[in-house]
Amino acid sequence: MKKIFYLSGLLVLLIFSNCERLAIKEEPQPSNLETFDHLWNTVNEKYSFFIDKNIDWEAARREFRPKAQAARNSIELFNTLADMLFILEDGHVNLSAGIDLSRNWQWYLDYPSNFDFDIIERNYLVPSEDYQISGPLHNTIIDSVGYIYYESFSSSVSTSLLDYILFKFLEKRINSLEGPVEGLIIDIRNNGGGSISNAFTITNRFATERTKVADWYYKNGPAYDDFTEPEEKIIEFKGDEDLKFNKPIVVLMNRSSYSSANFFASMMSFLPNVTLMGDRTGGGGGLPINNELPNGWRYRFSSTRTIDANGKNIEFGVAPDIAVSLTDEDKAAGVDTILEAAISHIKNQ
Amino acid sequence: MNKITISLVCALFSTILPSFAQVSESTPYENKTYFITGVGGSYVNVIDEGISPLLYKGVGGGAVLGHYRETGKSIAQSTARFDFNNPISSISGAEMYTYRVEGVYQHYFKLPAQEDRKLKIHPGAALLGRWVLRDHLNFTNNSQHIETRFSLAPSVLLQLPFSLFSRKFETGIFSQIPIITYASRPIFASTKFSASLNKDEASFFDYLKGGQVTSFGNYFRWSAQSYLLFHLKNNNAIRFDYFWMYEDYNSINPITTGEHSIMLSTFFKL
Repeated sequence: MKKIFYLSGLLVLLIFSNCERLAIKEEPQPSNLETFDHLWNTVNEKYSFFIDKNIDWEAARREFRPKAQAARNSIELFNTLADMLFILEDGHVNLSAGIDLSRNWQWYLDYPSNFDFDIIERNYLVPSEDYQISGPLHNTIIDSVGYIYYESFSSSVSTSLLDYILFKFLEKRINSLEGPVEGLIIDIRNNGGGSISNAFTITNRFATERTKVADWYYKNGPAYDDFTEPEEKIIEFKGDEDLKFNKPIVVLMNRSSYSSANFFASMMSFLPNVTLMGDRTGGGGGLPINNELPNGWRYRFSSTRTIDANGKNIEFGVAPDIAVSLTDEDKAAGVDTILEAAISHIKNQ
Repeated sequence: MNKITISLVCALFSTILPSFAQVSESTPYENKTYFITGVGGSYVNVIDEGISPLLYKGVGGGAVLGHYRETGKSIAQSTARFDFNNPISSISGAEMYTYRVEGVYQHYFKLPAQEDRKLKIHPGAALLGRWVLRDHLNFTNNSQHIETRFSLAPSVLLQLPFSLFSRKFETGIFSQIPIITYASRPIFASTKFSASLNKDEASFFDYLKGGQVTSFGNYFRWSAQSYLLFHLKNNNAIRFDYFWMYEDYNSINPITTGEHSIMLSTFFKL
């Protein structure tokens, strides 16, 4: 009898020790308002640019909450949430529901493209004997100027790959036609970003001395101005010491240069031999983070601020040192106005 | 708040420890020392609001290494457990991998009054350390969440030796509820730790700094290890363990976890 009592006691303890699912909420069937409130609250507490953009998020709540409540189906709810997120004016803000991806891409749609890869490919790359596609980098020599086109920072670039391309550009015997280059053009037009580490890899390859380029601030509390102390971002040379590139460099950019490309342009601007040319970048100065809504939809938004070493917030883009636009006449003639201006700029130095 | 909690813990232990000292010294006892190795499966439920409000649950596997020593006065068990799980949200379909390392040192005192009882209840204390990495496969910049815990817990061991078919068995439960815990979580809207800011690569100790001392109200954990031990004729043993843990940390991004592991362990007598 006693044995049964003891064993029953142990069994009861065992059973009670398994009841955590009473405390862990079972998968919810959220109402429209629960979904709306979760999105609004999370963005309210963790989005990093309310002050910089002077956004009245409370007003957004007043306007869109009744619409979310009245939504009759998931499409109407999605569109309501998407409309609310649109007012953040941030290319790093998206709501993804499988049926659609909400976005605000006005940072480039409102401006001329200033780029046509078809012109670059047909009239500058393919005709060149030196044209190579080294990993993600299209590269050649145009009129004694090295040219690199980098389409996406999502594609990994290594220091050794850059060493190879610079070796090609700097050594006469490799390039029988045009010899050592007089300068270098790095074209990041239409580069929508990707991994920030690739931006550092390339910038470090061209850095001359250890230089502070920016401060990052991470959101660390629910108030709009709750940020960490600055995290300093530093660049310094990494690569083959015998192949340091001290000649003029021009970075070509347009409104579709976004996020990591935006940060790359900002970092490169701190090198003494670099000129930024083309149009202002599209911006995107915050690292986006992901989250999920109670109904399973995924969303992302910026949660950091980047202030460059001159005190400018790069969320609003990086201005070119020399503004140049792709003219319709040149475009029709298969000429890239901005690229031609960059070549002239280098050759005139 | 933290000072009050620490004072309470010290006071509590100062009142409990003298009673532990009243142990039997009369009966000669053959000390037993074992080296433990085990493998098994695990299952985890987690809602980490730093990642998602959704419940992620999934199975995995684990291994345990440990040391067990029983003397006439006390029982001490130290274990290190590694678990890997693949929790999935049934609502979003998203997946994560979780890697968990947990170290536990438990020390129990044999009370004289328990000597002749069949069901023995041994009070004690436990030190618990825990490191968890949650890697969300569908996220980018905030895919990896790391956290650490160090807890001090009063602990109890219920031991019931019995015989069946002329064989010696033992069943029981180790159980702890921490009263004070040092806990670290990533900063509010990132996977970064305050201590690792301004470093390209966080060092191991960065995961330990910048945490907070917490206790009931903000932190609750209840863990239990139920077991069935079978003594072999060569003085070794085989133990079937069921580990269970519930944890609720009401931090800036609350997290609630329920974990289960079943392990089959061998006890090699040293």
